[in-house]
Amino acid sequence: VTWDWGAFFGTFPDLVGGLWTTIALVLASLIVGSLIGAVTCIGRLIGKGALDWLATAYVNMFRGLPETVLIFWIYYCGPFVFDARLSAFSSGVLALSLVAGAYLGEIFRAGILAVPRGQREAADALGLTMPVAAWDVVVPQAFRIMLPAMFSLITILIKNSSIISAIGVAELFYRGSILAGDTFRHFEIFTAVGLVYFALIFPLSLLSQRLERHLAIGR
Amino acid sequence: MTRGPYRQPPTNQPEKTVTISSQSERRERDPQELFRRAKKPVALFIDDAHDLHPKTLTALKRLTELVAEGGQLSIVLIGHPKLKNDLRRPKMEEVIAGYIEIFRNTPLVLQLFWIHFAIPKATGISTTPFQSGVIAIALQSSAYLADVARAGIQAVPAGQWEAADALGLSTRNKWLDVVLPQALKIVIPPLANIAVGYFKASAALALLSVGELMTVTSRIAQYSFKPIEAYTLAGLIYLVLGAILSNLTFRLERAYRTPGARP
Repeated sequence: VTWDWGAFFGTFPDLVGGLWTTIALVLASLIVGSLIGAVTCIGRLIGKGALDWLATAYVNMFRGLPETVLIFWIYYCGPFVFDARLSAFSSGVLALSLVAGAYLGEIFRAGILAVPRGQREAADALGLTMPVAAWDVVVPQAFRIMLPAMFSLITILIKNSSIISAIGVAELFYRGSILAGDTFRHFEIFTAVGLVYFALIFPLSLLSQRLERHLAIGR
Repeated sequence: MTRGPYRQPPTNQPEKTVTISSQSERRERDPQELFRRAKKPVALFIDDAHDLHPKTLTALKRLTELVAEGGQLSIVLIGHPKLKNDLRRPKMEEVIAGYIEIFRNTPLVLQLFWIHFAIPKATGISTTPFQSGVIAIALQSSAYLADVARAGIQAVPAGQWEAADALGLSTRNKWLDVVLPQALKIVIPPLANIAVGYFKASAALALLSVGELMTVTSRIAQYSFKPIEAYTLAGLIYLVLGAILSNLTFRLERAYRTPGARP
């Protein structure tokens, strides 16, 4: 085994730009995904008939489709189908947020349904209007319940963002593989990239586990 | 109209030294053959599935072996808290926990490339893309499966262990006849989730041109200049197969549910 510490440590400065791109990808798709998720959640909770059916179909479809297929579809077929050419970065964000929206919709819905019925009835009894009851009574409690699932979704998003390298977005994994191809130091460079991903994801999954345990105490 | 000329995405695969090992691979390299096949996407899918069949079997065997090994290790090493005193080996436990955390907290694609490009540099043993794909999925999924197995065993009520001890059952009988059958039942839903999840995740192996559905799809899309048809068909195949798979696992779950037990 030839292990070159110089190549290993020299990789990190080159990965910083990729790290920011990865974080930007994940944050952007988290924000867009939250909007989509809120719509599907409302569609499934309040909607009847066509709206409910549409939201359910959306969730089932985008939870069943592999991210790779979506990314390739949006990047290669999008220009033909919609007559608009997205940049690689926005194609990646769109693909990730479509998937994240489906998962977040379910997370939101499960969180809201997990709030005890008595809370809503108490809000009714106090004469709160529907929007006030939803926003001030149900949502804060639901938010607490859905935090662990949201953090684990963020870790999944970070992991899946590496697939976007396939369409040439210079995120963490893409930078790593280009560097490795240039220097033929695959062992050191991919290990360094792995360490960066680990440092990014591990705290989040620890936090998710902690929160889950913390929330389980009261039950 | 913004249908500009197409920019090919930069391929990030260094040149590979592939030895043409099987007839199907030789056929894949013949341009005429590629063109002929590109015209018939459906026929190609079937053809390729046929080619993959023996490979899939060995891959499945290896996967089950690895999974079984991971499960056994987790049973022996992490086990039930009551058994921790006599089975506890702190060093091994830490190693296993480290393995689980490392493989759960890094992307599958990175693991795939690490196995395909870094391991040969370190050990001199190189694998074909397909083998790398199998190893990557096996390693990551067993990190998840080990946790599932542990949770399943820990979910068997303590009374069952005590009853088995009170009856004077041997360790072997206690595990095989009392604990594991109950743990298996508990484990079916998360196991099914992981199976469906990796069915989906296998599409990411196309980044290394492993030769699965997504690789073949991109190849067809490039040769036939019909990306919409190719990618849409691939998406439909994933959706339909995924739906069938989750339906089957749901039935399995229901079939093994203890009558009268809480779901």
